[in-house]
Amino acid sequence: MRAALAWTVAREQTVLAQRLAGALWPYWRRHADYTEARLWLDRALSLPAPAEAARGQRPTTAGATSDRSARRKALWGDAWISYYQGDYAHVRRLGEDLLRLAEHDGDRVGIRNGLTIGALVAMAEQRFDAAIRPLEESLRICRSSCPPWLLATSLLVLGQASLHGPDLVRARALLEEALSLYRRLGDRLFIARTKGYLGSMSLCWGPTRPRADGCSARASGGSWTLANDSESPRSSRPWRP
Amino acid sequence: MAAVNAAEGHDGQAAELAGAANAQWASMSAQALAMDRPITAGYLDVARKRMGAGTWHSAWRRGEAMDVDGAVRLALRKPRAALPIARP
Repeated sequence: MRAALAWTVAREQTVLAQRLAGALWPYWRRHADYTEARLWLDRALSLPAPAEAARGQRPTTAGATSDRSARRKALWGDAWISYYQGDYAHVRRLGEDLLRLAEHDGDRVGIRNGLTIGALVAMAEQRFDAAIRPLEESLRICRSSCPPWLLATSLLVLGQASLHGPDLVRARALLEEALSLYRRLGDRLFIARTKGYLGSMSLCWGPTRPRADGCSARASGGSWTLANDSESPRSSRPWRP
Repeated sequence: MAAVNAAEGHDGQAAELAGAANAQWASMSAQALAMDRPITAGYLDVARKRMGAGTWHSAWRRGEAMDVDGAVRLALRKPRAALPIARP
C-alpha cells in the first residue's frame, strides 16, 4: 500500500491518492499510526485538483462526483487524524473545506461530517455550548441518512458535549443510545470509549466533583501538562509534521 | 482511571496512571483529547497539590516508563487501603 500511495503521489494521480488514503485512514487510526496517516493524507490532499473540480463547477458526470467524493473522504480522515494530534487549526481548515464541498454536492453525510468537525474544534477549545447546535443538526441528518456506526458516533459526540451542560439526563440518554448501537455493531473500541464517558458523568457531577458546576472549562484551568506542572518534556511536546 | 484514583485519594497511583497515559499518547505522536481535559484536570491538579510537585513528578515519571500492559495492570489493581474520598 505504501508503494501504491507513493506511486499515486509521484504521478499526481489525485483521485487515486485520495481514494487510497481516504480508505486507509481508519486502519491507521486503529493502529495508532497517526504520523503515517497524516503524511499520506496531507500529501494526497495537496495534489493538484482534477480540472473540473479546480474550476469549481458543479459536477456533471459520475466521474467528477466520484472525484469529489474521494476528496471529501480524505478530508474527513485527515481531520480526525489531525484532531488526535492536537492540530486544531488544521482541523478547522479541513472541516470548512469539507463542509463547502459537501454543500456544493448536496452530500448530506458530508455536511454531517463537516458540522461534526467544526463542533469538535469548538469542544477542543472548551466552547461546549457552541458545539451543541451543529451536533444536534448532525444527529438530525444522521437519523435519516447515516449508516449505524456514524449515527452511533453522532450520538456519542453530542453526548460528550452535553456532559458539560446542564441537561445531564439528555447526556446520559445520548450516551446510552450510542452504547447500545456500538454493542449491536460489536465495536469494542467505541463501546469502551462510550463507557468511559458514562463514567465521566460521575466524575463531573458525582459527590467528588471538583466544583459545583461540574467539569466546566473554568474548573480545569489547564491540562495534562498543567497536571504535571509543565515539567515533562514529553507531556508538552507538540506534534510536528 | 487516573482521575478516579485521584477522586478516591490514591494520589500516587493517579500520578503514575496519568504519566502512563500521557506517554502512550506521546508514543503515537498524538495527545489526550483537549475536550476531555476538563474532566480529568480538576482531579489531577488537586492530587498534585496534595502530594507536592516533587513527589507527584516522581510518580508521573514512573508511569511514563511503564509499558501498556503494566499500566493496564496498575489501572485495574485495587488500591490496598480505601482512603476517605478527598474533596478538593
